[in-house]
Amino acid sequence: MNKRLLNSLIALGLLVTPICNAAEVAGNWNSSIKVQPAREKPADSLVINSEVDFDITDEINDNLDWKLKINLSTEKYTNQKDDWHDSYDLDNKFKFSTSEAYLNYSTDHQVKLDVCVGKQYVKLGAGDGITTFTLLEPIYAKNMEDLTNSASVWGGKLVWYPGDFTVTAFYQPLITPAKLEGEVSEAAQAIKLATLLEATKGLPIDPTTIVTKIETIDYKEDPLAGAALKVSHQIAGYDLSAIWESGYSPIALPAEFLMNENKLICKYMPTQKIGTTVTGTLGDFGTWGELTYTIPKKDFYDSNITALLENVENEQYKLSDKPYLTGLIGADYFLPKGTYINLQVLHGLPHEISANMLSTAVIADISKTFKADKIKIELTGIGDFTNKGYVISPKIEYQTTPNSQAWIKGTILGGDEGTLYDALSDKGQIACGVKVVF
Amino acid sequence: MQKVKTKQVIMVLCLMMLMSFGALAKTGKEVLDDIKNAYGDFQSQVVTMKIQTYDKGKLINDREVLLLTKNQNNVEKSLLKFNSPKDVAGVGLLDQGDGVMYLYLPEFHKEKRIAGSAKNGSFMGTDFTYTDLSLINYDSSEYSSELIKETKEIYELELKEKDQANVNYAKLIMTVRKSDLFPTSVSFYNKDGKVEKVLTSYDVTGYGKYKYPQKLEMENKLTNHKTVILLKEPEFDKDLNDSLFTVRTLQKTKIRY
Repeated sequence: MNKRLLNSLIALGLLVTPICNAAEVAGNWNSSIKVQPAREKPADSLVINSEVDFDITDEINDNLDWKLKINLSTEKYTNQKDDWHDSYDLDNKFKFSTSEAYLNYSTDHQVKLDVCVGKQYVKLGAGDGITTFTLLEPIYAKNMEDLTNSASVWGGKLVWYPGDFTVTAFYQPLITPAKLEGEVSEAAQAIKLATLLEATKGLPIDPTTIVTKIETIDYKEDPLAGAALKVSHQIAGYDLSAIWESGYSPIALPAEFLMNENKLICKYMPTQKIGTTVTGTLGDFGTWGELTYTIPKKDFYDSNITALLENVENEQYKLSDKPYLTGLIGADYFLPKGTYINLQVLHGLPHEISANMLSTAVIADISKTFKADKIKIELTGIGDFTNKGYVISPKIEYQTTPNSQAWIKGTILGGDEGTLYDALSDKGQIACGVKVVF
Repeated sequence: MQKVKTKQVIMVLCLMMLMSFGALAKTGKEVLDDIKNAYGDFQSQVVTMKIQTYDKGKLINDREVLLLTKNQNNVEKSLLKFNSPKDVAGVGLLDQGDGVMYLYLPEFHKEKRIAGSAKNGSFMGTDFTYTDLSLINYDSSEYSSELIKETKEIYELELKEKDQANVNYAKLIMTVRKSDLFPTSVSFYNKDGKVEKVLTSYDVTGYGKYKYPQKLEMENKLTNHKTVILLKEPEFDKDLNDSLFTVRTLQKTKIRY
């Protein structure tokens, strides 16, 4: 066994054992094998992943509880059958992360209040697994179908229940940037290079030699790294909310180009969002909707960037600081005998952060269960009308024992030339795995 | 004189027959109301249920849930929370009445409004649909009823779903024990006229002025599948605070009542 892994496990054991003494510990172990058949043989790539999640919760007293969710994972991959690599370099091939670590205080005395401090998920929108309120929900994606996944953020949340209203306030002292890993990161880099190539066409600049610098946020200058306020109330059976969000784009954007130094300065763009959500039922359908107005910082891009972007033919990559409107509507329906249909139409996917980028897509999730939920067949998909792109992912889950599950999944994607879908079109894959809950 | 006497006897006999019909021939609705009054007129209930599902006799799922119900101004509110196993612990379902229902899945970190169509589906992979579950609490408000058979020991009622646009079953046949008005079994007939499922109650036990079965079994006759619900010490008419039946409580890992 690798020495570093052993040390990590011992450290983890020492850390977790005392706090777990009185706490409830649950967890799961996931292992999977993913095959990406290459268009040109024999360059198939194979990824083996194994990870363990520990979910530790405890109540200190009637008002105070805490949660810690930790993850330990490792990954190996090859793109030549006899040439193995680790996802991380040799000294760091086992990844340890926390997705949740918070202390929660609830009181019902003079005021009804919940206060949660630490690393936590912030869910302000009404969308099902996807939202247009993205400033506090950075994308965490390895695979294309993960574009609807979000990461947790550090901060403090206060929920106050005056009468029939719910008021939620959140403050984050530091931003959590989007985490793009694996093939999504590679595709984003490919798009960035292609855009730079176009932008510098005819100019005496070699885009491959451009140095990129990501400028960190000066929190002293702007203490409001991220904040949100949400007021919710039920009217005529519908849950309505008004939301304000302030923060930064979860991805650093090219803000300045220093011609003399051949240097591209990327910054996180200060952004505000205001919007509204509604959830309720229409007949036997569950329904929800969001409408969001995004206001990027005016004059964020310098004149050099603006001039360079003029050369870009693909309108989608002409970054701008114009305000824009995004939104979604969705509905779901349960048919007898375990069939479930969920459809959402969305304008503005989470990774689209400029007025010109916005596309309209339908997101579908259709599933059917058999044998008392022992077998589940699910088809999820994204159909992007604007880019003529799609991601289709069929999955079969089989519950092998009450605590374990085996699954097999395929992903097929494609789209118009120059789009993210096109960049990922050779990333179609077949994966299978097991999950054990303990 | 003889003629008058005969006439009188016939009249008395007719009257007696009419009276006896009046005494015996309860309507289906009256029987259901009597059941509700005898067993289901509690204002609140707290019960922990063990839900076991079997496929061809083999145990495939063993779950424990906490169920809180409260009747407030004729609006039935309920909160259901899964205690175990760990993969579903924390999952909750809140019914605030008037069609306002929420589902909370800890995995997604937020609640979700669910519509009436969710009642079409199986309740967490069991042989019960959400509508079937209401029968456990002697709530037959979703059904119209007709008394189709009466013997010395039992009443037999035919129930039909009132919402004919979303019919799950062609009919339900409920057998009610006359001695204590306890519904001992319900057979669910599908649209082909076949018995699809049979719900049987066992071990009726008194809890103060209320009676409740300790075990309920729903057997799917077509798939050889079975769900057994074991009820642990139900408590009735507890003073449950209204704030329990809110989204705030639904999101909590542990319910304090």
